[in-house]
Amino acid sequence: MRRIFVIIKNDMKLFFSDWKAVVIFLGLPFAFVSLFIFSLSPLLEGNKFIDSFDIAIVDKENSLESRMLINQFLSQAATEEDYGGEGGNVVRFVKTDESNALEMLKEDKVAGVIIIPEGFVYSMSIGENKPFQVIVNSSNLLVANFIKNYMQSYADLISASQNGIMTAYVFYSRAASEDEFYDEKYTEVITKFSLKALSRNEAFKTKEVSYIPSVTKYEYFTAALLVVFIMFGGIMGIKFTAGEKQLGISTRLNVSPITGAEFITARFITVFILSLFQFLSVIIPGWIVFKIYLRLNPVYMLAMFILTVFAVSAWAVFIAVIFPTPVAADLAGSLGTLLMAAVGGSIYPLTSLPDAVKFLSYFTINRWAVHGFMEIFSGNLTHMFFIDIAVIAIMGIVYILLSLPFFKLIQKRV
Amino acid sequence: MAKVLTVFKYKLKILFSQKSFLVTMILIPLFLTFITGYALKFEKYSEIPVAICDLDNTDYSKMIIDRIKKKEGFKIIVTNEAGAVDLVKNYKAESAFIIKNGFKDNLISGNIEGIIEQVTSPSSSSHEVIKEIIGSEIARIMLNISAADWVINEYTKLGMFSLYSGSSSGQVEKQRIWDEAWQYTDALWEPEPPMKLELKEFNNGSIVPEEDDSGKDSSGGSISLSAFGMLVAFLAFLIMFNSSWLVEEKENGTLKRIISGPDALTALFVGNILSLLFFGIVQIVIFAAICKLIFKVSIFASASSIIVLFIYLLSITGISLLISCILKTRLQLQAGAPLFAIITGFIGGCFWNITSMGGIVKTISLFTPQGLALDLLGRYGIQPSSEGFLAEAGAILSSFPAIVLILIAVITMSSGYILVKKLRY
Repeated sequence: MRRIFVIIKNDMKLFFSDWKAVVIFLGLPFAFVSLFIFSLSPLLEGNKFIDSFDIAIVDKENSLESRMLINQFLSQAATEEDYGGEGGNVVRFVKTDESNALEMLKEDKVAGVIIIPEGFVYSMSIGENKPFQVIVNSSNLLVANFIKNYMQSYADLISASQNGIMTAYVFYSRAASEDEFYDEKYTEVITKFSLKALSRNEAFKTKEVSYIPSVTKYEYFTAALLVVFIMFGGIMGIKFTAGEKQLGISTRLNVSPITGAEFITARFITVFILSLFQFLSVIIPGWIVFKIYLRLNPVYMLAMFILTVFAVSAWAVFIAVIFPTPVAADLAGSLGTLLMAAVGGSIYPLTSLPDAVKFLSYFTINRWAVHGFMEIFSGNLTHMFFIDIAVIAIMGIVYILLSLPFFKLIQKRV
Repeated sequence: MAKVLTVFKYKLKILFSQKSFLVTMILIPLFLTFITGYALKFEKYSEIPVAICDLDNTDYSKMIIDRIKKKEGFKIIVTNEAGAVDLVKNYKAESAFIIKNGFKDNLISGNIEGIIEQVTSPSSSSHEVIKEIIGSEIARIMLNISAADWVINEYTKLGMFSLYSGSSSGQVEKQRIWDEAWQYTDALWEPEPPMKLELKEFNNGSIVPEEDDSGKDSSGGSISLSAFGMLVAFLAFLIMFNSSWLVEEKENGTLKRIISGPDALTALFVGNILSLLFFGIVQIVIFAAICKLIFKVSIFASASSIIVLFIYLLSITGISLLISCILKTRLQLQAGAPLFAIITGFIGGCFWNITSMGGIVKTISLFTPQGLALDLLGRYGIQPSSEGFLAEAGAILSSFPAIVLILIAVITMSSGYILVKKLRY
């Protein structure tokens, strides 16, 4: 027991002897979380298929009715006042005059222009239906089609109402008379069918789904990078081992009374302590600055953390034993961490990755650990949390079992 | 010159003896290019995928689906309910619409609330607009039904069905007139709806009537920037990791002898710098060739990218030299180099689409050689230029990022040389 403690004390002394490295070790994770939140939030929150765009709207009629009609557009989409806010709408309308609108279209400041012509509302009321102009930029076909379909949907609402009115007129005229229709039924029919068309959205009930638990973007990236930095903490174990091999210390350790099990236990504990420091250096600032949710029973957090460190340490030991040289092991650890982070969804959200990579992510520690931490931050544990824990534990055991034959081989050589 | 060539040859032998390392330094960035390029692709779609599930299976629901399928710009995926939800969860569809069982009956009875379930993801911003587009098709059917209902009501008030009172033929007649009114309303949409749009396109500086876009495909987003990002990140990794020669000479004690020899230090410096540059160029060429083969992306679409990459290589070589002069052991360098390269790679924007970003993230990235190089590559390296090569080269070399990179190279190499020369044993 004392020998284990001695190794741990020595490793800690070595680590803290370089204060600059300690500052970077503890300060860098939170800085990275902040950087990722600013840089990669669009992947999490942004629309994958179409970017938001502006449409200039020109009201040449400028009557009460035309303004009401425009307000219909604006109530469905974001207005220019919402620009830069968190409106979450793909379309923003910008009210302006015709020459400015066309200029904005030429300069690519807007994706389309809608022009309500003079006399539009009156022409609708008498069934003449002056068309409103929709000008799109053909260089962006996706957005151009989107705008056309969107504007066509409004035109179709008007058409649907007018067709209903026309049917009412034709059939009523057959049974009674045209004059009677206009005198007694016309106003009622217009109101009834217009309101009917406007009520079409009642048919929809919206539901949100996501593979990601309900977490904020801060919580998402904190969980994602927490695991990466726990892995870097795990690599410290490789670095210590690599350094000892390089300096011949490991050969001397082999002839000392310390057993292999004691050595590995000491190294595990060292990695655990370093990972704990790094874990706290992310969680505490995250809680203070980003208000990440930590009100769940701390036992779950501790369990997740311990098992993640266990799996990472086991992986680090596996890397250390299978690579022929300390330098190769160190390099493999760094690159392996980067690869696992990319494949496992710690850098880019899993939903933005190709299917083949999503399949590979199941074999990474990151995928399960990130999901587990997100379940904790969401404050709403499901059965998936226990699956995450179980898989991580199994991964750790598998890595240790895989390491044992190689470790025995090395001991035989020495 | 002979001494320089000797060092150059000897160093190249050592560098190229690490075949597995070289292969790893090519394969890993390629794999990450694939991931990054896929993750960061944007607007490479020419259609927005929308999933639809028909649980009602009536003529009304089929009508809705048929009409939506005809809309340009949407890729309609008809699937089952679980499949539709999965598509949205995995961001393979922007939205899913589940036409509930009883859709037709509820439309006819006027009880329309929640007859279609729209499934969307938290990041979806266009689902409201797509709902509007589908809603207009629902409105068409709703108004057909409303018009027919209104006709029946008015006919009943006018006593048109009094002859049939009490008999089943009254219901038959009502149904006949209802169907007739419904069909009449629907027929008014042909050959074109009453309310039309006047569609125009802005094309090549002028506004023209709408053309047929059905053959056009606006997809084809490239992963060039991702490839550049990975290449730049791993070049730094490669050069820094292999800059241990100076530290090794210090550790072995051979540096003392080299300093004392005439022009030996200069030959050692120049030879090693040239070998690292050559090594970097080989990695660039192999990476570019494989990118062209697998991803059909040409790193050298513009000849300017060669200039930018070369300036970047020089600056990274200089930085790694300076770091080697400062660090005391090879272990320190090889432990710190990967971490330094990865961290500066992240800060420099190698792992995301830095050219489309602004603000503080972009500003911070310009404090790294990777960020400066990516800024230049984003401006000059993606598309071939219409200007001549010399003109473009002049523009690049006179730009601020290029000047900074060249200065970094000059200052770091000179400083490294001076630091070593000043060593006294």
